[in-house]
Amino acid sequence: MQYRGFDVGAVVVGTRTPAKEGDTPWAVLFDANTKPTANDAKWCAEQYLMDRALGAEERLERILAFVVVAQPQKDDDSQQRQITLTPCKLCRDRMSHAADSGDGVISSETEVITADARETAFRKFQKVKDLRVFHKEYIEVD
Amino acid sequence: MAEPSPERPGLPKKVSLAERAVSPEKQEFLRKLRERAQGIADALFAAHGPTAPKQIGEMQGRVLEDLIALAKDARGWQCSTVALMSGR
Repeated sequence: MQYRGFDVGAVVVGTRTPAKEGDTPWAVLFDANTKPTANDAKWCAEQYLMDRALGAEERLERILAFVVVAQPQKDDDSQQRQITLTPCKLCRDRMSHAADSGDGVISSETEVITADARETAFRKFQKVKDLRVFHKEYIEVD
Repeated sequence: MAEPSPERPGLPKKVSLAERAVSPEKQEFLRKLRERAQGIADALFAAHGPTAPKQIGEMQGRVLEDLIALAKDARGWQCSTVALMSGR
């Protein structure tokens, strides 16, 4: 059973200290969203990935980019229409807070690349610092 | 330091990729996705060594295409806890 077929897949690419000599320091993690029922809370693919990348077992030193592929829909919170599905408010808030924490795993410069699952040539290249601006939640003032 | 989000009372449990692989077919698909992810990581190491470029656009070859294709195929790992409990 899949909740209204709304599938989201995501990947993070980043680096970490190799566990042993000869291991690659590069890491590519993937995950997907889950949602038990239409009335239940969702867990986004990005949330799963942040749990893993910021957690002890698979912790990364630096996330270079999130890559998210899904069918676009209007954002539930900002009501912003979009050509690709950008992270939801919960995810973009968590990304921003992680960037603000200064531990360097996620920064304001971390890329967020989103693509339309129906035609992946439709893509959007943003950075964590762009997400709230795009959704008109935060306007940077110099 | 940013830490993983805690499990919140009243919300459904997060389900790991391994827990979602409830059939031999899903386990095999998960194994193949992991192989592809490792292949991309190995290709990045071969192309760039241990130093990450500043942006994806600076990466060599088909990396972005491979990352997008992996994310697209990983979408199949959406699931429901109902499905997990019933073994579907």
